[in-house]
Amino acid sequence: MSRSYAVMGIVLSIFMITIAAYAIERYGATFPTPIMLSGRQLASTSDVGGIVGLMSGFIWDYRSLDLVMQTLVLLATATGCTAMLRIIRRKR
Amino acid sequence: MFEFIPYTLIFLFIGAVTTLSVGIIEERLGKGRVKEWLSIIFIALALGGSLILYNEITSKPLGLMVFSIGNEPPLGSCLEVDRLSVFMAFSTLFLSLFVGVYSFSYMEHDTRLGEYYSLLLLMMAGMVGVALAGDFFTFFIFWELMCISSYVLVAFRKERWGPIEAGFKYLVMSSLGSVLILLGMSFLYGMAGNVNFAYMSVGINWGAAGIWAYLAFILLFIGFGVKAAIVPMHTWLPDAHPEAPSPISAMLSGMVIETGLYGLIRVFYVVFMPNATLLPNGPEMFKYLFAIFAVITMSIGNIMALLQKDIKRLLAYSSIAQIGYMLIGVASGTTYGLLGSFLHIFNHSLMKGLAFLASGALVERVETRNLDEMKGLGRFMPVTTITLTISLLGLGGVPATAGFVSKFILFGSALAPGVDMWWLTLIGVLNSAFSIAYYLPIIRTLIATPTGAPSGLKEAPASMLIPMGIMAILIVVLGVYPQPILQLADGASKALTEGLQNYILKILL
Amino acid sequence: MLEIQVYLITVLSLLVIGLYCMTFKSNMIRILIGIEIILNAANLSFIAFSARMVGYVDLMGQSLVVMSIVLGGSVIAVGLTMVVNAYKHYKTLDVKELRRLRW
Repeated sequence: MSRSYAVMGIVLSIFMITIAAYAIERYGATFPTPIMLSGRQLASTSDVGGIVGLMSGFIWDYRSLDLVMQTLVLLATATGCTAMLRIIRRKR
Repeated sequence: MFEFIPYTLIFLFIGAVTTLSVGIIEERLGKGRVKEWLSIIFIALALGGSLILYNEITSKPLGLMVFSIGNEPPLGSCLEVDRLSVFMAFSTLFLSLFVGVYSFSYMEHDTRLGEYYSLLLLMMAGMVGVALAGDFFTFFIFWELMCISSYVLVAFRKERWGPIEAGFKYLVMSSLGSVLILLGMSFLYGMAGNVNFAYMSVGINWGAAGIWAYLAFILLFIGFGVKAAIVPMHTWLPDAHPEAPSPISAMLSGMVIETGLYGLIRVFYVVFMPNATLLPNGPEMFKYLFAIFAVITMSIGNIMALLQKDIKRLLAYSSIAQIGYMLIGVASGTTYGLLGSFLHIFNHSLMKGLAFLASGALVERVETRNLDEMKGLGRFMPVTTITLTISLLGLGGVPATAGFVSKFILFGSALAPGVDMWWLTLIGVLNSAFSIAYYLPIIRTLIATPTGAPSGLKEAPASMLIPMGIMAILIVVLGVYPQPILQLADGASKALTEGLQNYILKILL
Repeated sequence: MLEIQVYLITVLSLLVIGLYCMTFKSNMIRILIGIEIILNAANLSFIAFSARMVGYVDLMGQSLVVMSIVLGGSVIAVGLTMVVNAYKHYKTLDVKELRRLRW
């Protein structure tokens, strides 16, 4: 019973992928390019070694608020995992 | 630029860290209630911070403020505050204050309370951040913060099988929604080059983007719809709300699903709506999409609620129906409709929060959630029953409660001259009248003559009764004199439709 | 550097594969892997759009991917704690057994 569900699922997935591929091949050339791009966010691909420094510079300059808030997310994850996995042995 | 300092987020962050450390120390010692008092103080400080924000924003001529560390906004991440953000942040913190005071004695006998209070404060920080964010990726980080804290809080009482099963289903569906939002965001990024809300509104070539813009919108609608409990994506809600502890149920049903709806409204009205005339069949397609989903959500929510015997599951289905009412206001596309939606967000958080808190007090005393076994028990707990009655009458839209005012504005907005959706108003009014049919049997069961004598059923303790009483009084007062909250919601809805030009120009200049 | 259509087809295929994984698999850990697959589709989409101009790379998309990997990791961590607790109660990893909450 579950074997037939799985086969039906695989057939449905392959069908949807072929439809998507056909539609994109016919209509996909019209994905729009951005109108205005700021020069400060582009980095040329000629220097492969220095890209890490450029990337870190970009994140610390322009995305610093996101980095600070990500520490809150990590705090929430750590607190949540300790809350869910702690074993409390208490003699009541 | 430092036009304001987000005191709210700073206080909630300090509160979370402090409560966690104090909680760990107290659990080692085995006694002490300092962490509850600390968490209530920090919530009150955060509420004060949001009032400071409101004062600052009414004193600015444009009603907008931007905050960012480091470099300038269009590339940098920023918090952009307008009156709608202040309205949502104020609603969140207002409900959380009552929930914090209520969980003082509700969660008294639970373990791991340090983690509970710090996760509660982090969930509030996530919700306030979602309201204040000006950049789509900053919005997403706060969204994930809110979601991760709520997954753990729903499955908090892990000794029983119910919360774990509900928590797993909630996690799977809600994180599917989050990654679909990320996928929709990536398509919008590909079209615009930047993820700022204001930048995406003007920086996309909408004429060349026909089918891809619709694909991005559908992905974002499904992603936000999972969290906002719009109907085909609502199936996690009737399992997660009953199994969570009652203050968390009140918080989830009162504000977390409304934050999902706020995200949908913000992305739709800032990015898609001003450019809807550039897309093929734009305005009609969006209007009818929201209207059809409003009808389906209301109807299925009300019909399924009629079949329930579990009181908290019934209230969970009723939340789905109330989200359907709020979608009517969004579908109308006018400022008056948005006023109704935002007013209903605030009123619903008060009324549904009170309903969950009161039924939680009942369920804790009686040890069962089944309505058939609660016959006549309301006579032993009079204050709880009176507050539950007021909240249920408010949810049904009875005049002289706050629910009537917001439902009146919502159903009237669909009849506006440019909108002409009389069938939407008709279905809405019928659903609202139909919903009384399942609110009244709860009241009737509670005040019937009791069969059999339960031993020693006392009233709920005072620290649970005080927030319930204040909320009940507020519901009645706001139903008779809604001017203060009507002014707040009016500023919020005007900031979204008429203040949109200022919102965009502030970032681009 | 291929055209943008190839990357878009890959992204949509990964989306369909991830949805198949979440819908039709009954092991709880495989459902969580399905979420990760869709997350990888979104990350691939960000990177594909950041490399469209010849000779230049758009740093914005790549920094968003760096931060979104961390968020995906934390969601999976919390999900796995729920799977551990569910195993303690139900003694099986089959999601079809979690059917006690009905109606």
